[in-house]
Amino acid sequence: MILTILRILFLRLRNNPLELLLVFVMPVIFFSIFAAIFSNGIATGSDKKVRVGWISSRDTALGFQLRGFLERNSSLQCSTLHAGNLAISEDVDSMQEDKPEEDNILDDATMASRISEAQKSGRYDLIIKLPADFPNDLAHLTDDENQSACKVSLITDGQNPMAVSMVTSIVSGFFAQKKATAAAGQLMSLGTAGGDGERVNGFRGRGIGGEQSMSGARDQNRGDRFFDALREPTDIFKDDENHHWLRTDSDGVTSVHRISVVPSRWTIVPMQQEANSARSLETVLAEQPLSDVDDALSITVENPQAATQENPRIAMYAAGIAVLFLLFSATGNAAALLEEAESGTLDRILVSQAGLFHIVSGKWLGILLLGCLQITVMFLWAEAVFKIQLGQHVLGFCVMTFSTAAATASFAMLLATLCKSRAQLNAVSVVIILSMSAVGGSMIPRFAMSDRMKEFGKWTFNAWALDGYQKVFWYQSPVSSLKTEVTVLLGSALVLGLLTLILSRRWKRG
Amino acid sequence: MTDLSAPTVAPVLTLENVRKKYRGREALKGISLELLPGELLGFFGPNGAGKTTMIRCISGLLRPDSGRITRHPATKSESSGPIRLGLVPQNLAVYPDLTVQQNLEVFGRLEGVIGRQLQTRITEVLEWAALKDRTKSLAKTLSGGMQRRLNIACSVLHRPGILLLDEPTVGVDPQSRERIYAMMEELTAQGAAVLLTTHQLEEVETHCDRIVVMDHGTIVASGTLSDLVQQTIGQPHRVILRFDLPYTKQLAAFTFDESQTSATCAIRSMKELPQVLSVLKQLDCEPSQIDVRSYGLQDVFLELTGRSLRE
Repeated sequence: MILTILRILFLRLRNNPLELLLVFVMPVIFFSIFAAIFSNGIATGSDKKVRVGWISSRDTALGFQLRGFLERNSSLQCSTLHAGNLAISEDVDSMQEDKPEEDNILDDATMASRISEAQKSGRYDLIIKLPADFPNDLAHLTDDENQSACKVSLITDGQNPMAVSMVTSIVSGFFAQKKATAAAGQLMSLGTAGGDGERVNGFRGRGIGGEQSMSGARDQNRGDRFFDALREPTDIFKDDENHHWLRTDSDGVTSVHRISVVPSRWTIVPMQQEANSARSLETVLAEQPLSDVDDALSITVENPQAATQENPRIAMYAAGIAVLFLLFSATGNAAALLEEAESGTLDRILVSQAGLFHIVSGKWLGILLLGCLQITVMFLWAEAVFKIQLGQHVLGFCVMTFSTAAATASFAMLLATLCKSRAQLNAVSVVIILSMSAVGGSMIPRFAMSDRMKEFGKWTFNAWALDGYQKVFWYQSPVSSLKTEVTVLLGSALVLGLLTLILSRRWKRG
Repeated sequence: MTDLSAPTVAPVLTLENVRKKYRGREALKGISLELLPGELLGFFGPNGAGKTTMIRCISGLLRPDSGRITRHPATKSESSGPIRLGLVPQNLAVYPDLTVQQNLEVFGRLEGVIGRQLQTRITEVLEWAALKDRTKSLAKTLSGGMQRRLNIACSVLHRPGILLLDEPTVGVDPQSRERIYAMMEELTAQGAAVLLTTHQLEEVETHCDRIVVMDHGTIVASGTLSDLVQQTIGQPHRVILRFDLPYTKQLAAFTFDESQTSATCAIRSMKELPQVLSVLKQLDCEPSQIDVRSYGLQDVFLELTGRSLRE
């Protein structure tokens, strides 16, 4: 008996292609979509990197080096929003004698405008901004009493928090390396000057933690110049409590002694500081991780959207979920057409004074209004509980909601017209809607997708709707900026609606 | 093409040589028909005969390939347009999640009945369909018979001159069936023409004024039951004599079978039976058994359409 029951189950499954589709094909489709999003499936090459935009108020050697460092990082895809008014020169030395020229400085308003545009384009996960007072080299940090640190701003729209952590770490690493290089160069110069290579090497290994950093000291990039400006080593360390382990011999060569008691920190006073010895650059080397960001570096993370909005990200989640369920409810309502056809109610209505156009239009309008209401309820709840500031974006919200609901209504009506039965529509709609939602960003944030997947997502209503809501709630763009999204959605609504009207003639053909 | 006998009153619906190909085959092969006001016309035929296609053509859901279907004005002086039509599909073509009242309201509005007129008509129709006590009930909670009555009620709110019903009594108990035919007879009494399809032979025999038998897309016979029997079998009753031994004498008007143990004679009415028995007595014919069989629509139907399965 159990075998017979089992047989019935399998026979029914075998005779029902829609159920087979849901059981076997659907999981494969979803697996493929998620695999494509989260792995290197169809997203290969550079489009899995964190996309970093670069803008500096003026071109400096240190900025140039930082940018080069970022470009060489394999996990970043770095491009310039603005190359500075000066063309970036490969001749770094030409930037050493940096005197900020007013003509070459990009003003704050222009930078803010370009950053805003870049963020709204969606092409960047993060933008690195260097201010006008960004130093030309590390030595400059001690030139000016008022300049306490290299200021680097990371501008994020909050969509990709991973990007912030990653870039912060990389930038900190750059400065740590620069300082390590500088210190190592200093020590190297001390060591070689003393002719006691072995001792220096011993000191080097313990003092700054490894060959990697020391190799940087041989780079004639920045560190040499930093140390070129130093006075005699004994003078440099004269104020240090450990100055006694430096010794200058009769030939004037300074060497390091007592290497077993190398101090954990000391003060380096550059030559320019001689007149004002009160200021110094304190460098932590030994016993401290190189990646630590000290006072020489100030990384600030800015989120312009967050500054004016309490919870902009929630609006995106609300939109994503709303569009997903809008598609389901729209197809559910459109399925009533199939139920009416199956029961003969449609025939009865067609025989009445209502024509096919009235029926299709009436149902489309009903689904549209219901969709608008559904999204509105979702956003009202989001406003009440999560404070998404709906009141400040009513117009944009209305425009996007109407466009989205219209496109969805046409899509649902077309599906219902193409399917032969309610059961068929259910199966087909589940496959299509879940696929569209996965690709279009209702399930997975679009920023987590590869560029190719994002482009692919443009074939879905979800992506256009979410892009539109993003502009409204996240970027707080004016309604005029929604014209692309609205055109696509309303255009789709029109085309699919007309197709529905044409194909719905089949109801009259029986 | 099959012609029906010319009616004496002006028809409300005329079909002239209607042809329709449907899903690759000729579903209607030149149907001609007239429907009279106040007439209850029963369409009878095997599955696939073309009944539903014909109803869909009449209701305008399908356009005939050739021929003409004319709905005549309700009155000759009226120039406002053709007589109105109501359709009762075979399935329950109502909204199960709406109440009886709400179903009547929406279908009334779809037929252009609005306002006070709609409320008046709903009240009348609820009374007519014996659903007055269930106005607030959801359609899906009604019994099968009530749902059928609601199904019909939704189609008459606009007082159609022609009502098309596709198997209106499927799956209902005898009481509900009688009630449904009583409703239709009320309609015909008010002058509406009712055309129904059914497989229930006794319903057609009992209630329909005229019967049309369809097969293979054509009307193979039409008329009253006695007309049909006359056209197909001849006499409506048959006297059958059975003998234990072969009967060798001649019996006028009787036809013997090959074994000479059975003889049959057709009679026009049961009133002729005593006369037949009297003749047999005069001839000293004493059969072992005398059967009298009356012919009905089933005999006509099988005679016209054969006994082979159609599907």
